[in-house]
This record gives sequence, C-alpha cells and structure tokens, in this order.
Amino acid sequence: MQSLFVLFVLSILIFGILKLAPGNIAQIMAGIGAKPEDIANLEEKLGLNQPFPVQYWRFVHGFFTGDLRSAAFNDPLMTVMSRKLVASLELGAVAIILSVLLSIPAGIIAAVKRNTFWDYSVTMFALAGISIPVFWIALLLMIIFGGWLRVLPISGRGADIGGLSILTADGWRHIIIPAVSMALIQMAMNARLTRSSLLEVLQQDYITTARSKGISEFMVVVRHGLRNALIPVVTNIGLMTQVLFAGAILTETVTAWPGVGRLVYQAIIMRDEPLLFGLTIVIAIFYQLTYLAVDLLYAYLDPTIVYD
Amino acid sequence: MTSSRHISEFRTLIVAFLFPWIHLLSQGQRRLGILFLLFEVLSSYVLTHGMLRSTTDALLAPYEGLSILVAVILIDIIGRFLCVISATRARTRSYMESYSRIISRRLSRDPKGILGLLVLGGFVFLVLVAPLISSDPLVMNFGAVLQKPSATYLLGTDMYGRDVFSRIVYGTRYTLGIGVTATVLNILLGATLGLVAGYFRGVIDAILMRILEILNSIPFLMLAILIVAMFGSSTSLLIVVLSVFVLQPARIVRSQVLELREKDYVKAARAIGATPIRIICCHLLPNTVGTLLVVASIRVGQNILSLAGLSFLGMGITPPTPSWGSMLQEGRSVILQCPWLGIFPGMAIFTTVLAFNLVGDSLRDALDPRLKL
Repeated sequence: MQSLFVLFVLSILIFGILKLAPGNIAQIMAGIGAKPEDIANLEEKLGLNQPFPVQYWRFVHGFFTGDLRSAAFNDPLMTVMSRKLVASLELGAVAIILSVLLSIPAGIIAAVKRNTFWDYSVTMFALAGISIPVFWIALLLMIIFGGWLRVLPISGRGADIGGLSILTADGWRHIIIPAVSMALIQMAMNARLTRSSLLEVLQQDYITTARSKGISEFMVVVRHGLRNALIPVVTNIGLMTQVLFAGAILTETVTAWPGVGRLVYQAIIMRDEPLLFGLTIVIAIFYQLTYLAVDLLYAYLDPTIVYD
Repeated sequence: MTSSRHISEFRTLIVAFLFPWIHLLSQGQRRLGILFLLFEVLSSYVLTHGMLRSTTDALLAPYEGLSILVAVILIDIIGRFLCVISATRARTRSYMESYSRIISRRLSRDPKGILGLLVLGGFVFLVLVAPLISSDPLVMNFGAVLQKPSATYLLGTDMYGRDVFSRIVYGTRYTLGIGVTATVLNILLGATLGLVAGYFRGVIDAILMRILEILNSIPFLMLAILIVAMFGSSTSLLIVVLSVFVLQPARIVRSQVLELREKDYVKAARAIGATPIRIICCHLLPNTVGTLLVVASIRVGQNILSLAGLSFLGMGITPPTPSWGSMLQEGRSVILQCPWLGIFPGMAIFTTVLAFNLVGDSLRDALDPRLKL
C-alpha cells in the first residue's frame, strides 16, 4: 500500500519535472527550421496539446498496457527496455557477487585481527574506496588494461548468447572493467560495515560464553558472531542491488555498457519523455521490491523481528 | 571521571562556533542572534555569487570583488570567535584547561584527521594563490596540444593546449565552493527538518518520512541529472539540487532527537514551561551537533563526488570553466594516448574526497566511537 503511494507520488513528481521544464519538445524533435505545421503535427501525434491530467493518464495507462512508445526510438517501451534490463542485471549480478565474496572475508579478517596490519589495510582500503569516483576507476582500468597492457576491450558489451554476454568468453572480457569498478566501491562500503558490525557483536556476553565453553575461535566467529553481525550487512547488500542494477548511470556511460543506466542518460539527453517516465517507474518498482526483500531477509535472520 | 561533562561543554563551544546565532538566542540575546542569522544568510549568498559565478570574466579576473569576500569572511570569523569567547567566559578556568587538553589529546591520538586537514589546507591554499602559481586556465594554445607532463606544463596540456595543472588548480575553487556551500545548506535544512519532525512528531514527521521514502525510491544521480538537464545547468541550481534532494542528515537527526526527547532533562525543561523553540535550540540541537559535524564532513565528500559525476556527464559546471569532472569528460576520447588527462583530474577528486572522509572519520572517533554513519 505504502509502496503504491510512493510510486504514485513519484510518477507525479517526474511527470511534473518533465512538463514544467522550459522548451517545446515537439520543436526540439522537429529540429531547427521546422515548419510550424510540422511542429503542430508532431504535437498532435505526441498528445502534447492535451491538458496535463489527460497526458498523465495516457502515460500511466500506456505504461501498464504496454502501448506507450518511446519518442526517440519509436518502439514500445518494453522493447526498448528489455534488453537493457538484462544487460544491467547481468552486470549488477557479477559486480555484487564479486564484491560480496571479497568484502565479507575482508571485513571479518579486519575485525578478528583488530589493530593489526591487516585491519589497518582493510580500513584504509575501505576509506579510499568510498572516496573514489566510480567513473574514474573505470577510466584508470581502461588506461591500464586497455591502453598499456592491451588485454581488455575498453567499451561495449561484446558477443552474447540469448542476450546474456557472460555465456561467451568475449562477453566476459567486456564485463570485467565495468563490473570491477562498480564492485570496488561497494566492496569498500561492505567491508567497513562487516568489520564494525562484527566488532560490536564480538564484544557481547554470549561470545564470551561461547569462548569459555572451549569452542575454537573459528567456530565462535563464524557460528556465533557472524550470523548476528551479518544482519546490517544484508541490509547493505539489499541497498547495493539498487545502486548496481538501476543507478549505474556513470559506470555504464563511461564503459558504454548498454544497460538501464546508460538508457536513462540517453533518454534524458534526447528528452524522451515517455521513456523517462517508464524507466522511472520500472526503477522505482525495482527499489520497492528490494526493500521488501530486505525486510523479509531481516525477519529470517533475526527471529526477534515480527512484522504485522 | 567527569568526561561526559567535558564533552557536553566541548559541544557548547562547538555550537557557539558553528551556530553562533543559536548560542546568542539561548543566552537571551535575541536581537544579536537574529542579526547574526541574517548576516549568515547574506554572506552565504555573497559567497556563492561572488566566488562561483560560472562566467569566464570572473575567472579571468580572479581577484575582482575579493575585498568584499575577505571582509565578509573576516566579520564572520570574528563574530564566531567572539561568541566562543563569551561562551568560555561563562565557565570556570579549570574547564578551559580540560577543554584544550581534550582537544590536543584527541588530535595527537588520531593522525587521520590531521592528515585530512593538512590536505584540505593545501587545497584551500591552492585556491588562494591560484593566480600566482598557475597560468590562465582558459587560454588555448594550439601550438602545444596534448603535451606530455614536463617542466613547462607540469601536468601536461589538453586537446586545446590548455595547461592541465592550471585547470586543476582553478577547478578546486568550484569544487570546494559548491561542495561546501551545498553541504552547509543541506545540513541547515536537514537539522531543522529533523529537529522539528523528531520533536513534534505527528503530521510533520509523517510527511518528512514519506518524502524520504519517495526520494529513496530512485537513484539520486538520476533525479539530479534529470533536473539539471531539464532546467539548464547553473551554479545555483547545482547547489539547490545537491542540498535539497539529499535528506539523510534529516533522517539521522530525527532518529537522534526521537531518543533525546525522552531524556529527563528535556522532560524537566518541558515541565518548567520552556517553549518548544527553546527546548529544540538549547537542549536538543547542542546534543546533535557532534553527529551533524560528522555528517557534514562526509556529505561534503559525497557532494563533491556527485558534482564530479554530474560534470562528467556534461550536466555540471559548463565548459570552458574548469571542473575536475568535465576535464575527465573532455579527455575521455584520447585517454589511451594521453593518460595524464585521465589520471590527474581524477586524482584531485579522489584526494579531496578522501581528505573530507578522513576528517569525518576522526571526528566520529573523537566524538562518539560507537556512532554508526
């Protein structure tokens, strides 16, 4: 219910921004020197001369029935978006798996070996990771692996099988730079969080009890510590999926990865109102789903949480 | 130990320095307080418009209007120090000693913060002496296009033959100016919203939470690009976007206030008939200042990152004005042949943001190590 409310207000907000912006879209699309009657025709075709509530209804109705067409690509929204969605999900999945696999062990090591060289390196790495602009990492990787070593392609998505490029060797080579640059930043945040959360848990009384029972330190950390320490980490991974899947505008633009982020950028540049509207709703629905998933996982990990 | 007392006094001093008008208001000096608040609003206006006019003339005459800027900053700082002095006068001498002891002990314990402050100091120094150490960042020289870093061109030249070092130095001005101004506005707005929503709860709180939910359901960068692209890029719009559409500070302050408002001293203040404004200004705000400081230093870094991202997408500061993000964008097409165009501006962004994060980290450790932000 709340999610529906959020989606509704958000759609109005985006619609408002699109409509309040100065400039006539029909004029822009028709180009400089277009005849007034051409502009009028285009306005008629795009429904721009109807009142705002009617236009809004047309957008919402068209979005759910699949009739809404992108103004720039002249295709139904789903046709334009579906391939990009797959590409983004693919890139996001690789980046998330990479960052989770590396960040949780790093955070555990930093917490267990507190105030040692390992802890300081992980902490410094994490601090550096949250300070680095994501597109700059991508540029650096391009310079190093594309320019000097000449081992990786610097842009695009490469060959794919059935829309999935991770199924081909060429696709793998293309996915490395964008995935690593996105993963590095998320890794930094996640390692930091794992460390602080595990440190807090390890100071609890039941950990002392577990130790005094004589279980090995490894079991103490993994079985008693980690399960509780991972609760905030899971939340963070949920939020990570949002950034990686839907918000990768910068990474996808700089590496020319044909995903949703790049499509958002293109739609804004071309001022493709129906496409932008559709993208916003799709991304917002995705965000709401991740919030739901995080809540459910939370309840699973922490039995004391009960939702009504 | 009476360390908690010291910390609360330490906080009073921070309030006197950071929010002098609140200090004055809480001391019963209403007129002075309101006067200072007006001055603050005015000076932030002067600062943004004096320092950040994104026209080329302002760049070519970097010291134009500088005297006004210096005057404004001087009056501001003097006013703040007067407030701090009046705040310390009210205390005993032993308190002064413990205050300085706390400061020096914490600083000497944590090299992170010092490192961060030194780096930031270096960048501020660069802003001030920019015209002395660098050449004109806008002048094109087609005889020296895409030169490698050398003695003449410290960090090389770009495709128009402009000196990369000069452009980075002048870029600092815009980056720090917009980053800091947006953060100050953001924190002011966030603190006000958070305090009001947390203290009064009810409808205001519900509205704030709904707004937060809505803003949290699409990527911030997407909204920012959309607004900037639709309404045309300008310095003031960038500052508004970076300060209004990020409401994390409000959320953090709110959750802290929800806890604080149940404390006995707040109940006591309410019982003796203190007005909500007084409770918010004198009892709640001073206790959130530590958090606000940490949030602020982290937000400056985040704002600089967002600004760089926007400029990189061509939505930030408009060329030919030098900004680190747009320098990366311009160099992108030749980045494999001329890596210096990709390395140095990014390095500048990275160093600045890292410095702010270092300061934020050590501030957090000093104020409250258990604070999770």
